[in-house]
Amino acid sequence: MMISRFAVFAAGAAAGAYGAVKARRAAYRLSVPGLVDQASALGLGWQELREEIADGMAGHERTQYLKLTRKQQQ
Amino acid sequence: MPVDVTILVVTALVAVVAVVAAVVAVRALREVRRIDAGRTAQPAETSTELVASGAQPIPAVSEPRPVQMVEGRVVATLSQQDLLEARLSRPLARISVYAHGIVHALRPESRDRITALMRREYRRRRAMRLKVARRALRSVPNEVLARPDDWMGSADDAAQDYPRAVGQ
Repeated sequence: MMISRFAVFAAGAAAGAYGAVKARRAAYRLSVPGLVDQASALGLGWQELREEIADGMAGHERTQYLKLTRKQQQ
Repeated sequence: MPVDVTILVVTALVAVVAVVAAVVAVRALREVRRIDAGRTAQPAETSTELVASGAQPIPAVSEPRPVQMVEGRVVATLSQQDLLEARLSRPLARISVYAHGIVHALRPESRDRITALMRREYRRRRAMRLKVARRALRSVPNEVLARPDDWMGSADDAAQDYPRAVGQ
């Protein structure tokens, strides 16, 4: 009985702490500084995505160029 | 339509045009910078690729191309480089290149990398903000924060704004 009460108490405390941390993070996300940070991170991600796309395009162009060059030389 | 609404609509349209013009200008500037950077970096890279693949590079034509007059029309002789560029600039070839770029960018590894980068950036900025807020809170003297005669708080004190850490 005692163990069961202690387990319930521990589980409640853990759930409370977890919920508090999550709620605090969610509140920060919805605040103005949080939104600014998310926008900044999104901008960085968009820039990286564009660089990746440019890399892939350059690689494919180079491959096509080499293929056509080889075909013309044969 | 009232005059003020008309002015508002016209102002909004002008603002939209200005934003579009700014975006176009920034994109053009980036394109010019990219082309300039590509001109300086491209030759060595291309030559190593060509040597590795066993293909010989097609020499770029620097001298004026022969131009003929056929039935009153000017006909320029195309070099191999021109033909290659023409083939690579076809709409289907361009679409294929874009599609390959997008597929390359959406690979799981680059997707995960970008997501992790975004998460790291968000956490870094959040930690920095919290650190600055804590430092600002620490720099406030204790006398300012002390409330000796008001232990439950009141409506009058609600307007008094104490420094707080972000997110608290």
